[in-house]
Amino acid sequence: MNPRHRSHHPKKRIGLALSLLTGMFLFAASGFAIESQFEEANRLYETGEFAEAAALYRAVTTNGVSASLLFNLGNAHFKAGQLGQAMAAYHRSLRLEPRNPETTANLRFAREKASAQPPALSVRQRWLRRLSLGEWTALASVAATLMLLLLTARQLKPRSFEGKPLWIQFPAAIALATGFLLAMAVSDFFSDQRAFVRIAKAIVRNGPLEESPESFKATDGTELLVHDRKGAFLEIETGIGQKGWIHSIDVEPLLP
Amino acid sequence: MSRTFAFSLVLLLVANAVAQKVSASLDRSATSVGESVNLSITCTNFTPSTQPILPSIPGLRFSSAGTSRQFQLDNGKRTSSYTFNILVTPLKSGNYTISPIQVRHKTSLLKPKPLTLRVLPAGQQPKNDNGLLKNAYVRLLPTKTTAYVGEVIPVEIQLFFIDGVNVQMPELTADGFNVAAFPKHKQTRMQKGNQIYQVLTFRTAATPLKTGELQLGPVKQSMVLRIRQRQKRRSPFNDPFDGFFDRHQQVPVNLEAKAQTITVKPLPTTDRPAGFNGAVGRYTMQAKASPLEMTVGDPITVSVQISGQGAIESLSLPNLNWPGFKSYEPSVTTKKENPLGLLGSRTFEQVVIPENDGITEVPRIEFSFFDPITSRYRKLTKGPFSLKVNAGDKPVAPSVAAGMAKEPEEPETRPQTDILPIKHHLGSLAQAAPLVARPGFWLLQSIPLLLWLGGLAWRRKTSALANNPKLRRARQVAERTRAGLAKLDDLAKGGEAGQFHAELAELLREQIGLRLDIPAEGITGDIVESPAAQKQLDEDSRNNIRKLFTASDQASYAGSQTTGELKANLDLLNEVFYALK
Repeated sequence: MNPRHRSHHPKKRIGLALSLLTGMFLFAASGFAIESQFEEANRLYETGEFAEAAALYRAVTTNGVSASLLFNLGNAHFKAGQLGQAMAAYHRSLRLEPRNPETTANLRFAREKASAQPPALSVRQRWLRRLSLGEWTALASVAATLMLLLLTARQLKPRSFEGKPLWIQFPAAIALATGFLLAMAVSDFFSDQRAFVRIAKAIVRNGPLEESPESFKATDGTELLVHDRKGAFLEIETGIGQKGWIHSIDVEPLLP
Repeated sequence: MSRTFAFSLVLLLVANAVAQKVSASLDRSATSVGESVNLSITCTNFTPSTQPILPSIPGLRFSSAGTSRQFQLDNGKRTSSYTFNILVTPLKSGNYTISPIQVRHKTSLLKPKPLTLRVLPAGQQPKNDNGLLKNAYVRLLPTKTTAYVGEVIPVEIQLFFIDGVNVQMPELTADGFNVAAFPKHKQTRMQKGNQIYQVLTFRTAATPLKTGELQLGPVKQSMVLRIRQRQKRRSPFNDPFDGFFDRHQQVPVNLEAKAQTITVKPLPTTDRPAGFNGAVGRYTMQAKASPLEMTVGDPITVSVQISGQGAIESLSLPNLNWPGFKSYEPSVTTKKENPLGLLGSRTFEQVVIPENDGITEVPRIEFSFFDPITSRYRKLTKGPFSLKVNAGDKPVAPSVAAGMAKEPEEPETRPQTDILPIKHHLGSLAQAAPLVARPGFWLLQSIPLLLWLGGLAWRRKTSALANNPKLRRARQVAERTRAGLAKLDDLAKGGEAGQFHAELAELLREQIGLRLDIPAEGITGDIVESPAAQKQLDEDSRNNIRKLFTASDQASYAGSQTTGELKANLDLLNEVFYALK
């Protein structure tokens, strides 16, 4: 053993341990900071300072998102009279927890208040959105891992699998099916170009220019399907088939 | 049924009879003495019984260059053409009118339009062979050059070409306009001067989005022209089949039509109706409401249909948010009556619910638009519709309009009066990007895949070894040799000559057996005399092998040897092994 190496090892170990400890400390400290920000936002909400609470909840989202955080953000926007932003936050929360009854109820209530008809969903979209993208991913991942582990075991112990083709075929079929469904869910997730009007009366024009004549006005909370973008204007369609161009600052997109 | 069929047949025959015609064209209108031009006489929808009768013109010589036949089916309409190709060779310079050309069809003589040909002296080339003789050009034809903002301008793009393929869609530059997609084009033929052109017509609609002098165009279009190559001067040395077969050159071209200036006027601000929402065109309105007798809380469907000419798809419903009614967003259906969507109707169906029994009518419905032809605003009105609302105990439910997509919901027993309160647990924070979009997930997911690939590789290797006895033996010998050499080293250091030579002979036998592919047992120093060894081993190796076997035999009889001698034998053994490999 090289004595020089031996003399360096304890120092290295101490350095590594210190780095780990510092990392853990910083991680814990940032966690505490986020928690305290969240609690402060909750306090602002309960004292009726909804706009300030919304701003603080939004600040927390820069460190990560959770269904509860987005739910509270939606509530703060709703109470501040910002229906479009509230609905966008509820939708984002439902993307993480699609079967959450409280979020669904609040979204429905906000939608009624906005008197807006959402763009119709196809049967495929409704079915795929019963699970979150994370859940679809986990399902497909577990199925694929199981199949691959069984395939590995068959290579190592082929005799154990002799005369038992279903041991491979069944997990393979499940893995393929869940993989296909995951692909559909991913496509649906990233192609969901919805946006919500965030001001009281947003002007929808015939073309993507400030000079274009006004086509109609969309009220706060109106759900829009975004088809295209030209400069600062988005080509949109409402739930009732009205089409036009709206300024991007007047809407809150679902995908940031 | 049979009558209809017979009538259709008669109509088809009549149409075919009417469509029988003769046209003539020259491939160019100017040439020089001795340079032939091609005269095509095309008979459409009939086959002439005799050759065409050509005029006798001093200074021009006509010679037949064959015939061709063509069939075309367009939208179920069949068109046939029979073409006589005639070479016209000028013998003298001057201006000629080729007329009359006559084609006999049954008992009548059909005559195409006269053709003109300018012939220059020999050796001179026509200076300008463009003009009407151009092989292809494109035209941009807006139906108007002055319009109001929001007014739809139908636009035609016409592509003229004599012969060509691979025609691309036109590219119209239209900054400040909203341009509709091009529906399917129409194809016709048109004679201009001596030439017959194929004409492709593309129609679209441009809606100006701002006021001022706007440029519509240019239009760019690319295609590949098929240009008939000029007939060389006749001489006895030319190819005798020149002129009997078509000689075409394919030339890709990019055509362009100049931009047109469109003056776009703003909509007048005077007399603009209060409910005007940007509709420009000419429209009529139909409206109805039903039922007109109901209980408080029951829905009434108000149906408004706006028909006419203009940008139908961008029409929006007049405001129906009446006091005393709860209104929901309307459903909309659009019916286009031409491919560009400039003619048609848009129907809005809106559900309204009277909130009390004091309401006696559905209010008047108003729709305003600007008529660009009369340059005035017009207001269309329908209603009011008398209504009888009976008092009832049914509450007006603040539910979302029917037909709305349902989200998965929890059954509710009581109507919600406010949003549900906030949550006090943050929950686990995750990145905004979904799991499937994170590289770490795919890295982790690749572990079972790599395990499987590793297993697959291991399995293949094992199978390969099991099915290859020579390889297996080579591995066993290599293993045995590695262990044996280490043991020999130790034995040499210990001076144990007997064991050393026994081990050495054993290793040597294994290596030679492997090399010569014979069993190792029983191999002695005499092996080097065998034909296989003579063939596969060089002389040095054979001598060394013999030395080693001899030393081994001597050691078993003579007993002890020094460590140096044993080391020397070990080195020799290594040398032999190296040579055997």
